[in-house]
Amino acid sequence: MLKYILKRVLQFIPVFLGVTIILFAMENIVPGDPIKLMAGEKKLDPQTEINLRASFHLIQTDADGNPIYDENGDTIETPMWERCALYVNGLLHGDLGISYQRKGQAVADILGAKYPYTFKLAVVAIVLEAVVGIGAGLVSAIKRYSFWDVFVTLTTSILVAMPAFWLGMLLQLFFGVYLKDWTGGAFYLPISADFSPSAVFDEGMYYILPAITLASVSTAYAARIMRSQLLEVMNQDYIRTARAKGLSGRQVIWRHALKNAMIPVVTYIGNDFGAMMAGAILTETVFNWPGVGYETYRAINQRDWPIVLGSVTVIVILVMVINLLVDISYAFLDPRIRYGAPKDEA
Amino acid sequence: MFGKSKTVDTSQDLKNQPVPEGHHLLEVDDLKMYFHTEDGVVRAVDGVSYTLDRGETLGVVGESGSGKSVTHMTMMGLIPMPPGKIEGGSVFYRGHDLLNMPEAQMQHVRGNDIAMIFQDPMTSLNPVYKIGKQVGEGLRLHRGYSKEQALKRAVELLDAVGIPEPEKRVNEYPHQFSGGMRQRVMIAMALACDPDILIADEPTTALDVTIQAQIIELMQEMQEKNGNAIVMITHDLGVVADIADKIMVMYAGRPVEFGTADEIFYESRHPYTWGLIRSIPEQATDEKKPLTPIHGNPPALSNLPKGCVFSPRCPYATDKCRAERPERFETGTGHYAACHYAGDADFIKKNAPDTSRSRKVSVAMLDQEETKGGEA
Amino acid sequence: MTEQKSPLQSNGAAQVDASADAKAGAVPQKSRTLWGDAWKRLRRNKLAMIGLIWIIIMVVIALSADLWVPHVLGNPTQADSSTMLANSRLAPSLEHPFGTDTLGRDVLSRVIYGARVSLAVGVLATAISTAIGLVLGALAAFYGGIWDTIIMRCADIFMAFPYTLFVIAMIAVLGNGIQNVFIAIGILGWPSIARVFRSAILTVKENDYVDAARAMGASDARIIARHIFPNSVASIVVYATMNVGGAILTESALSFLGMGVVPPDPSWGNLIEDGQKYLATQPWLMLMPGLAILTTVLAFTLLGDGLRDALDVKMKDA
Repeated sequence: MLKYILKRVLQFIPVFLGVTIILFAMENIVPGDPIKLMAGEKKLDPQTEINLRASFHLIQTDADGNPIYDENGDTIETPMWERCALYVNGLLHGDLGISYQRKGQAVADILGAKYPYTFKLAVVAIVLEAVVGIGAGLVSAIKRYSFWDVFVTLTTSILVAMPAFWLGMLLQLFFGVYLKDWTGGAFYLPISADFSPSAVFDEGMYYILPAITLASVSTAYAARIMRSQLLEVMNQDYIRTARAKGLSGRQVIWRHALKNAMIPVVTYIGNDFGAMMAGAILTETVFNWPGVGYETYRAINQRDWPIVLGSVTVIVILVMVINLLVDISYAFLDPRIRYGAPKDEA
Repeated sequence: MFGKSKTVDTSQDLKNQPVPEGHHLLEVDDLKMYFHTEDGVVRAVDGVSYTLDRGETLGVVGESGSGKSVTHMTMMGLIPMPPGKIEGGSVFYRGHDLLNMPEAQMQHVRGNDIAMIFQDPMTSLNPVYKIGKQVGEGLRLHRGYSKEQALKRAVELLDAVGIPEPEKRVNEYPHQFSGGMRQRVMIAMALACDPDILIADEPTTALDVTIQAQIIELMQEMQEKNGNAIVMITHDLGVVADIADKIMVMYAGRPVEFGTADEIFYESRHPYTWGLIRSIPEQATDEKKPLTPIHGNPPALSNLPKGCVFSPRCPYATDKCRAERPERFETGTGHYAACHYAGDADFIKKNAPDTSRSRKVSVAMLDQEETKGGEA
Repeated sequence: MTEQKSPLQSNGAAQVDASADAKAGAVPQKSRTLWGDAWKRLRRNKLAMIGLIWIIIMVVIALSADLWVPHVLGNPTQADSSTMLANSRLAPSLEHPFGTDTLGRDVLSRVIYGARVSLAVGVLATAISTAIGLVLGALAAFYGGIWDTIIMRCADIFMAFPYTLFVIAMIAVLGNGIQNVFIAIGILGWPSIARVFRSAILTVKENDYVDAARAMGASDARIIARHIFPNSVASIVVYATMNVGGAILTESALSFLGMGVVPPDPSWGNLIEDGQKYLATQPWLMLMPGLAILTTVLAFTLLGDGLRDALDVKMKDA
């Protein structure tokens, strides 16, 4: 078990380094000189510009952060590898740089304030996915070829084929516009309304539509995986053994088939948590949700790259860490992994 | 789930009731089960009959797809219906009709009165549960054992089937066991509730040759101890040669010959049985006699040939064979063969294989393997 | 996969193993019947045929758009300032089946031109990722060792990224514009194809006829092209078909966020973004392009499912 965890963690390190290097490369390929972008239309005086460059470690500084000059009195550009090291170091210390547009504000602070909203939304969506996805998949598999099975298959096909953000709008249209009188406008989020979190987040109601939107595609996949897994497991020899032992059909499903069938589904849903944080950008944009996703969308439109890349970086790392944790907890579910047997045997 | 330590009255179990006068322990009569599929009707089990008594071993022999497993799955009610459908016949166990038994009662028969062992021990155990739990599950189900009682009994059972360190191994998972050990676990699991009948579906096919003999020996040992009957399903006539009391040879869903082991080996009356006997390897003899395989392949069950199902592959087939389905020829001792010429003494004499040696050879081979034994 | 393997298997064996002539005898017709049989099975699959027909309709409309759409429905990008106010956001009618947008442009016309973008992105991006995936997958599987490790680790890294977010970051780096959408979606899609091709090759490589071909002195490139590729092509076709739908969805998300195709050029994504503002009053503005995405992606999924069944390709998950 310990060996397995260690192995997974060791495997994680090169992937993590690779991801960080790619992100650093992106940060540095972004067109335009960051200092000029920050200044915008204004013309900076040379000293301010040098100080700014020093604060971004674009040029070499001494221990006090003062720029170092060469014999010609010019600043010395920091070599790429050193900036990369500084970037990784910053990442590890939670430093994601400074926003271009909101001067002086650290990206980490801006995003930090938004994360709780995205996180809460993702939690609600995951719960929804687990309950609805597993439930629908189970019904579909147990009552194979029934009306419900056809219904689930059809619905999941449609859900994965439609853009989730469009589904969000359909929900807004249906519940917020057509059923406005009946729902008392509880679901209707005026697109341009001033969005004050404190007022909105008291209402659990407001979670429903965004959570459905966020969870839709994953729920569809979870239901399909659950269905196909259970059907596959029901064909296994050990299910026949259980029946030959005298267990009833229901006992066979609940005691012998479910645990085996659930393992991949639980892994899928676990891994999905990260994907949801990522998918939040579209859902939050549609619902004006004051989370990281919406912030990223705003940053894209304002060309505020540090925020865009900062949120991407954080989400990527979060996704990877969550996947690692899911992989490790997988081992608790599946004894074959826990004891180091090849997974596909039996 | 289960009550903590509820004791279940086992005196009502079918296996504890006497076999009614004039009945056998198990009586299968003209059992027919067809699958109704999109491609037509598949006559998977087509008129199987045999009887079995306590302490006896029945060998069921045939090529894959001959219906030997399906027959017994049908008797156990393990064939999903539909697509399967019982088309006729009966199965009586201690005078009780298994085919028309309510599902709840049938569940109590499965594992308790009649237990099964399957071909592939690698896939027949649930990978996510500990061995002890799986072995003890039947006891909890049929006898109302508590978790602790079931586990304790599981240790004893593992010990009885020759698994070393049973106290430790009950807490292990299937993938930690070798193939032969897993089949021992399967046997322990099947014998947990002291069943009346043990149906072993190719229990040794997936195992190493050296392990095969050990497993068969174990089953015999257990039979001597418990007095249960065994149905040994195999494609290898050699395997049942020295352990079976009775043998049923199946072909294309039908029994082509049934009789005592001696009758099948020395007085066989069916060309298919002859073919099987001729294809037992006789390596032990010096004689450079080539193996005689049966040519061709078994027919598709959805598209059976007219007349005798074996006629396309039978070297002695006549026009009559190709036109009429043969009736069973019965000798009066219970031995029957489904061949038009089974009653023709000249035909039998001319064509039957010389079996004065072949059976002894296969027995000798088994003995050899046993002494070679030693599990990997 | 077993089914598609057997017919071509004899190709290699035929040259070497004369004893296998029973099998190899039918070689020339057999490779044809693989696709012939698949087509027969596909034709029987009603859903897949609906998908295929819908795709054909979309392609024909998109390709012929220049010939008739501007005359019949109106210019998709240029607004006519004289009639702009009068025509602004009209409800669907005979003249404008999908209504008009704020600038008085016909929405159907814009949806049709959006189809050109979506289909182009879907097909081209898939082509790019398939090409990259095939080359890298082949390298990894065929040469193994260090190649395999490096390529598959890279695939892990790419897969570790949340896909949509990675595409967004790429566009942020490359800048807006349709060519960058091709590139971003194309480049990021390779790992799944590479994995499929790699495992397909590894399966095929086990077969004796590959050894036989090598024993006869065939070069690696030849073995891949003549023996391995034909045997893996079924799974690649299935994955690529499904990939097209995914690429269309990604493009719509990018354009919706204002990162892909930028107005006035129409794309389904930016049409929805435009329609969002009038959700409560003129919902058809976002409904119609959304339906276009839904039906097209669904069509590719159905076709992909049908191909998977027809070609008997085993896939992971649902």
